[in-house]
Amino acid sequence: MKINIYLFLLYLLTIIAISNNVVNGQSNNIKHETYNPKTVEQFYRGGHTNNWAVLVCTSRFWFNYRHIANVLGFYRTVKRLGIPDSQIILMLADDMACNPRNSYAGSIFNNENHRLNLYGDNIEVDYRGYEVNVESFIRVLTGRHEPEVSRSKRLLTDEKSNILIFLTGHGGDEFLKFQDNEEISSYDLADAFKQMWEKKRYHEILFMVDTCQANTLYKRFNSPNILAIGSSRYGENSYSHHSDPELGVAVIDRFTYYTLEFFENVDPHNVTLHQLFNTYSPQKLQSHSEYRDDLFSRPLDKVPVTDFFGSVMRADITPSHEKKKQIITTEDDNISKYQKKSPNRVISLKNNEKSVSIKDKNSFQSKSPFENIPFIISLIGFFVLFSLLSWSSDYSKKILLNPDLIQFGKKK
Amino acid sequence: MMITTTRETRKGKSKLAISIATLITCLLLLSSFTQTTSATISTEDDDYITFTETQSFNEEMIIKPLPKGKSMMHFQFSTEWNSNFFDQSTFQHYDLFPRSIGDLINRVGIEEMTLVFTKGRWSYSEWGYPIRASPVGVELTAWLRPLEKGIDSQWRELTHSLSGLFCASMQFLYQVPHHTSSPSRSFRPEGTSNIYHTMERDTVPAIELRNQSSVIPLELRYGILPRESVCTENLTPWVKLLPCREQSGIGQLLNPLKLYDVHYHSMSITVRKICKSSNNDCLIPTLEIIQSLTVVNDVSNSIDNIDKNKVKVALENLFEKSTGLYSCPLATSSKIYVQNQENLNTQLTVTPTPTTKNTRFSIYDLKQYSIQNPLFLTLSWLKNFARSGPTPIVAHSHLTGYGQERGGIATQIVNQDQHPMNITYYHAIPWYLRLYFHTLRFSIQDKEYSDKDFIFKYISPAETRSSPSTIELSFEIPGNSVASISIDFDKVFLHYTEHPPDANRGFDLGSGVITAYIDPNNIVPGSSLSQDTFDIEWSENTYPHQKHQVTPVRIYTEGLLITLPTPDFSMLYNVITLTGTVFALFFGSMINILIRRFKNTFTGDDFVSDRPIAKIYRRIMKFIDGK
Amino acid sequence: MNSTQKKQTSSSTTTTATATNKCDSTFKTFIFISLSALLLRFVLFYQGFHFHFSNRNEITTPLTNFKRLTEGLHLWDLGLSPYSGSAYHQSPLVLLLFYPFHSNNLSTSLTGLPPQVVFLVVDILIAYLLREITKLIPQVLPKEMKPLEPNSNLPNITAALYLFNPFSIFTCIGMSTIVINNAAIILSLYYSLKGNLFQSVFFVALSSYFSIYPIILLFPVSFILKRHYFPEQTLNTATRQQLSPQQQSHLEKQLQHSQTTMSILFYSRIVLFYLLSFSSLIYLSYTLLGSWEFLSKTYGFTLFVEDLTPNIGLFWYYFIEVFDHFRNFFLFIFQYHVFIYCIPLAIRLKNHPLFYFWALCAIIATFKSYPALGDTALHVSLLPLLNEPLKGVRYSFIVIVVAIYVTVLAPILWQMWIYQGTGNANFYYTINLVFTLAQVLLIVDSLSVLLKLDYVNKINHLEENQEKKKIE
Repeated sequence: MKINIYLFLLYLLTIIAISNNVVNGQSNNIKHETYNPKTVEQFYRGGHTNNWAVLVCTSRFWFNYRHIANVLGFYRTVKRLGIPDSQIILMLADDMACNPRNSYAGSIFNNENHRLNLYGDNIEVDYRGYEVNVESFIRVLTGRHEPEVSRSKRLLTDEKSNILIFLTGHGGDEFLKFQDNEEISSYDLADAFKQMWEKKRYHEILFMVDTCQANTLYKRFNSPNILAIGSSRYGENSYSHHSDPELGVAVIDRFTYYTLEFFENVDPHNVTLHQLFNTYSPQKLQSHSEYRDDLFSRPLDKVPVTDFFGSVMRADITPSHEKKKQIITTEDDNISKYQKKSPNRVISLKNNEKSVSIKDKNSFQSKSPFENIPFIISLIGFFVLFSLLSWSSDYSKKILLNPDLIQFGKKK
Repeated sequence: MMITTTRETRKGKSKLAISIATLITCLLLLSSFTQTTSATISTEDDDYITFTETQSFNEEMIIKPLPKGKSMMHFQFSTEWNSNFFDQSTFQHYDLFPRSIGDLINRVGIEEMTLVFTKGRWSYSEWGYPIRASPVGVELTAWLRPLEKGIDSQWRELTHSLSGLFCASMQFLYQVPHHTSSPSRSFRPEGTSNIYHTMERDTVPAIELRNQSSVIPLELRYGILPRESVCTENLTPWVKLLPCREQSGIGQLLNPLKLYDVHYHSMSITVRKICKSSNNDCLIPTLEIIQSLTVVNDVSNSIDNIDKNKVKVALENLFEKSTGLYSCPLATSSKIYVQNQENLNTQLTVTPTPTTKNTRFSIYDLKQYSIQNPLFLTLSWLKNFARSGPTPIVAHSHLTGYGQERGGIATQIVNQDQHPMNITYYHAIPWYLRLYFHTLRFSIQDKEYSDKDFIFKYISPAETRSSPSTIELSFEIPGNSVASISIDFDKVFLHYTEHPPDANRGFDLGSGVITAYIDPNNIVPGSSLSQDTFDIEWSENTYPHQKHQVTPVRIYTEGLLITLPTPDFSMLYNVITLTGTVFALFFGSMINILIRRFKNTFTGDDFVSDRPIAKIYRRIMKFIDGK
Repeated sequence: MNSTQKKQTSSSTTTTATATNKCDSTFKTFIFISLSALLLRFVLFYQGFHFHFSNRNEITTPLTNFKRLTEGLHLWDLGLSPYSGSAYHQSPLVLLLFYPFHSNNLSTSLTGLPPQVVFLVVDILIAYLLREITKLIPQVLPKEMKPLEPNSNLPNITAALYLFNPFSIFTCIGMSTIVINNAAIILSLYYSLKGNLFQSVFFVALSSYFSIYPIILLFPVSFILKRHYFPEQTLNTATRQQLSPQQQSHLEKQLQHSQTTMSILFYSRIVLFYLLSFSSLIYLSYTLLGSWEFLSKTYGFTLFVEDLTPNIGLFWYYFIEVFDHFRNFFLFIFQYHVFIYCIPLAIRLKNHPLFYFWALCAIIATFKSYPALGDTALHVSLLPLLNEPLKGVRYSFIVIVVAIYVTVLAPILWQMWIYQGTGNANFYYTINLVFTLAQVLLIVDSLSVLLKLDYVNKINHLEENQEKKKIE
C-alpha cells in the first residue's frame, strides 16, 4: 500500500517536471533565442556589466595641490580606459586650476615637466568646494539623496556594477579628514559598504586610499567582494613624490605616481591587479602598501585591471534585426502625421494672452500707540480693576485682622 | 502546470476580445479627430495666426579695444525656437534647442531665467559698461510662473537641476538661502512677449490669460553665490549646449586655457520669451536662449612690430587656435563685429577688410569664409588712447569699522554726467550681519534725505538663518553729484557648525545692484553715454527692444569679505566639561547645605537624629543587641 | 499703673519727637547722597560714556541693549513689527515706556527729554525704596534684623551702597533696561514688607513679565506677606484670665485649624492675583502690537537662547560649542536648573524669607540665560540688609577680590579677542567661569553661615528654656 502511494507520487512528480520543461522550453522558444554562454564569456568577464568610479579629494587649500592632482590623474586614466563622465563621480574639495595662486590658469599638472594638463577642456566635477563633506560622500555611496538631487550627482549602480573608489587627503589611524573640520572613520565606511551590499548596489569594489596610515581605513570592512589597498601602514606616513619649483608645491604623491606610471607604461587590457599591486615596493613608496583580499572572491592574478579601471558597456540580447526594422517602419507611418520633426509644420495659434499690470498690495501703516484704540481701552480697564483690587485687599486685611480678639506677638 | 481551458472560459474570452476591439477602434477614431485639431485652438472668434515652426541658431562676436592695452571680447550665441508652447508635447522634440534646458523650462515653469558665472572685477570707470553686467561669483535670476507645486518647490528643483547641469553648487541657493531674495524694482524681465513693465511704483510683471480671465503674477527669485569659483568644469557643459560645440564657428575660440587667464571672465545663459512681430500685441511667442561670454584680456605684451605704441592682436594667437575662423554650418548667421569707436583716437586697423562697415562697427560675415578659406583676423590699435569722457554712473562699496564685533557698509554712487538720472539701489545682506536700520543714512552731496524724498523705499529685515535683509531705494540723482548710503551692523556669533570649513577666511557679502535708467533722449551720438551704453541694438540678429523704453544699465558694486568672530573649534569637550563642573559645584554644595543636619561637637553629647529612618535604624540595632 | 502708663506715653512722645528730628536729618543725608549720585551720573552721561558702556557685553545683553531698543522703536515707527530682524527682544511694554523719549533724526521726542532721564529716575527710585525697606524690616521680620535706632545710618548706607556701587553706575550709564526689572523686584519686596498683597504680587508679575525668571520670587514674597496676614496669634492675657484652661486649649486649637484653611485661601489668592496680573499684561501687549508673535520672540528667545552673543554668563560659549543633537537636552537642563532651587530653599528657609529672597535673586543673577552686571548689582545691594547673619562668612575677601579682578580683566580679554586678534574666545570664557565661581562661593558660603547660625540660636534657645524651667 505504502509503496503504491510512493510510486504514484513519483509518477506524478515526473509528469509535472516534464510538463514544466516542455512549457518552459516552448516559452523559451517563443521569447528568446537560445545562446551558448561560452561564446559570450569574453563579454562577461568578472560577472559585472558596468563600471563606475568615485574619486574623492578631501583636502582644501593651495598647499594640498597634490591631492587634487592625484584624483585628476585617476580621473584621466579612468576616462581614457573608457568610463564615461556620466559614470564617474568626481569630488574636489577646492578649486586649484582657477585658483588665483595658480600661475597656469586652467591647468593642473602632476609632473614638473608639465607635459600633461590633467584639467583639459572636457571635465565634469560633480561635487566641488563646500559640497564635499562626509554627509554627501556617504549619501553618494548609499544612494540616499533628497528627491530633487540631479542625476549627475548620484551613484546609480546596480548589483552588477564594479566600482572603483579612490580617496586621497590627510588621514590618520582609522580616520580620513574632510576639508579640515570633519572626519570620516573606518566604521562609517564599513557601515556604508554594508548598506550598499544589502541594497545590492555593487558587484565588486576596489577601494584605494592614498593618505597617511591608509591601511587602517579598511580594517573594519566586513562586506563581501571588496578589495582594498592603502598606501601606508599604521604609524607610517605617505609621502609626496616631487615638487614643482614653478608652482611652489608638491604635485603628486608617491602611491598615485607609481599607479599612474604603471598605467602609462603597460597595455592595460592584458594586465592583472596582481601585477599592479606588485609594482608597489617599500623602496619606491617609502611606506608599506598593503592590500586586503580576504573579502574578495577571485584570485588577484585572474582579475584584469580593466575590471575596475576600464569600462564594460551593458549588452542586451534583442530580437533579430529584420523584425525590428519592420516594426519601426510601420510605426513611422503612423507617427509622421502627428510628428513635429518636419521643418515645415504650420502651427495655428490663437492670440489669447495679454499683458497687464497689477497693483502691489503691500502698504505699511505706522500706528502710534496713542491711536491704538483697543490698547487704550484695555489699559484704562486694567488700571481701574487693579486699583480696585488693591484697595479691596487692603480693606479686607484690616477687617480680617480685628484687633479685638487677638493681639500681635510683639515683645514689649 | 498544464494550462487547461474549458469551453465556457473560451467563449467568455472571445466575447471579451470583441468588446475590447470595438472599444479600441472607437478610441482611435476619437483620438484621430483630436489630433488633427490639436494644432488649432478653436474659440468663438475665428482668429488664427499661422506660422512655421522653426529652430534657428545665430552666433556673433564683438571686439572692443579698451584703454591701457586691454581688449574686450564678447561671444554671443542665440538659439531661437518658435512653437506652440501651450502644447505639452512641444517639449518632447528638440532639434537645435538643447533638450536639458527645454525640459527644465517645462518642469519648473520658467518665464525667464538668467544664470551668470563671473570671475574678476569689471572696472566701470575705465571700461564703461559691459554688455551684460554681473556680480562676482554666480548669479541666478528667475521669473517663475506659479505652478501647483508652489514657488518654493519650483525654486528648489531649479537650483538642484542647474547645479547638476553646470557643475556648480547652486543648490546652496535653496539649502542655505543667505543670499536669496526677491527684489521688487531692480529687475524687470528682458523679454516682452507677454509681460508688462512700467516705471510706476506699484506694478508687478504678470501674465493674463484672456480665455480663462485670470491674471497670474510672476515671482522673481534672485540669488547669488559670491564664493563660487568659475573654471573649466562650468565651461564644459555650457559649450555642450551649443549646436556646433567648439568644433566650428565662433565656438572654436573657446579654449579654456586662454579664457581663465584674464582680468575679467563672465559666462552667462539667458532664457527668455520674445516677440518677433512688429505690432505691440505679441502673437508669436519665441523662446530664446542667449549664451554669452565676456572676457577682458590684457594684450599689452603683444606689440606691433612696426609701431611700438600700438598693440597687435591676432585672434588665432590670442586663443591658441591655429586654424582660422569659419562659420558653423548649423548657424543661420555668423558675424564678428569690431567696434570702431570713431570719435576716439584709437587708430584701429583691421585686416582683412571687413564685409561691411558702418559708423559703429566693422562687420565680418563668417558665412563667406569656409574651411578651405578661413578668416585670420588681425587688429591693431593705439595702446594708450583716451576715452571721450568719464563713465556716467559708477558705484563703489566698502566696509567701515574695525574689530570683529561691529562695523558698517558704505556705498557711493557717483553721477559723472550732467543729466539727472533715476537710480534704484538694491542690496541684500545676509542674516549673520545684524543691520540697524535706524542707522541707515542717505545723503546726496552731504544733504540728508528723509523718507519722503525717495521715489521708493523698501527695507526688509532678515529672518535668522534664512532670508537676508534687503534695502531697496529709488531716487533721482542730479547731475555731477555723489549719493552716499551707509548703515551699521553687528556681527552675529555663530554656532560652530555654521562656520564654513575655512572659517578664518571669512564670509563673502554679495554685491549691491544699481539700476540706472538712462533716457535715450540724453544719448548724444559721440558722447560718452553713447559710446559706453550698450543697448541691445548693437546686434542685428538679437531681438531689439521697443524704442520708447528707457534703457536700463546695471552696475554691481564690489564683493566684500568680512570675518566673523570664531570660537575655538578644538575646545568642544573642554567647554562642556568645564561648564558642567561649575554647575555641579554649585548644585553639590547646595544639596550638601540643604540636607545637612548640624551636630554639636563641643558638649560631647551624641547627636540623636529625629529622622524616621534613623529611628528605625536604632530600633533594629537594639533588636540585634538583644535589649 | 496710670502713672507708669503716663510716663511711658510721655517718654514715647519725647522719643517720637526726637525720632522725627532725626528722621529729618537722615532724610537730609539721603537727599544729599542721591543728589551727588545724580550729579555723578549726569556728568558721565554728559561726557559721552554711555556710548562706550552701552556697547559692552558685560553691561548689556541682547535682551537689554539700548541700541536694540532704538532699533525696535524705529521698526515700529516704519510700520513693521519691532521684532523683525531679530534685533529687539524685550517685552512690548518697554517699547511703550520709551516711546515718549524716542527721537528720530528729524524730529525730537514727544516729551522733549532724552531717554537717559528714565534711567536716572529709576535709580533714585530704587535707592529710596531700599532705604524704606531697611526701615521696615525690623518691624516685620524681627528675627532677620535687630530693631533700628531712630538715628541709625543703615538705611542711608544701603541706599548709598546701591547708588555708588560701580556695577549699578555702569548699568545706569550703559542704559541697560535691566534697571526697570530691578525696580519691579524691589517694588515687590517693598510692598510685601508693607503688607499690600495685591501691589506686591502685581510687581512680581511685572518683573516676571519683563524676564521670566523672577516668577520664583513669588515664594519669598508670599512668606513675607504671610507675616502680615497671619501674625503670631496668642490669646490675650485678658481673655486668658476669663476662660478656663479647657476653653483656652479648645480656642487655640480652633485658631490653628482656621489658620490652615485660611492659609490655603491666602496662597490661592496670591496665585490668582498673580495669574490675573500676568495675563492682563500679556493681553495689553497683544493689543499694543496686534499679534501674538511677541511670546515666541521674547520668552521663546530667553528660553531657547537663540542669540549667542557673549556676556558674563555661561550659556553663550556652551551653546556655541555643544553638539547639535544634545543642544535641546542641555537647554532644558540649564533652564530647569534655575527653577529647581525655589522649593528646597522654601522648605529650609521658611523662617528667613528675606534671606530666601536674596538667595533666589543671587541664583537668578548667576544662572539666567543672559546675565549682566545689573543683576549682580541687585543682589549685592540687598546684602547690607543681611549684615546680621552674614557676619560670619569666611570667603568674603576672595569674593570681593575676584569681583574686582573680573571687572578689570574682562574688558581687557575681550579687547584681545575681538579687536586685537591676539587672544581667542577661551580667554573671555575663562573670565566667565571665574566670575560664576565667585558668585557661587558667595551664595554657598552665606547659606551655610545662616544655617549654622540657626542651629546655634536653637541650641541657645533650648538652653535658655532649660534654665528657665530649672529656675521655675
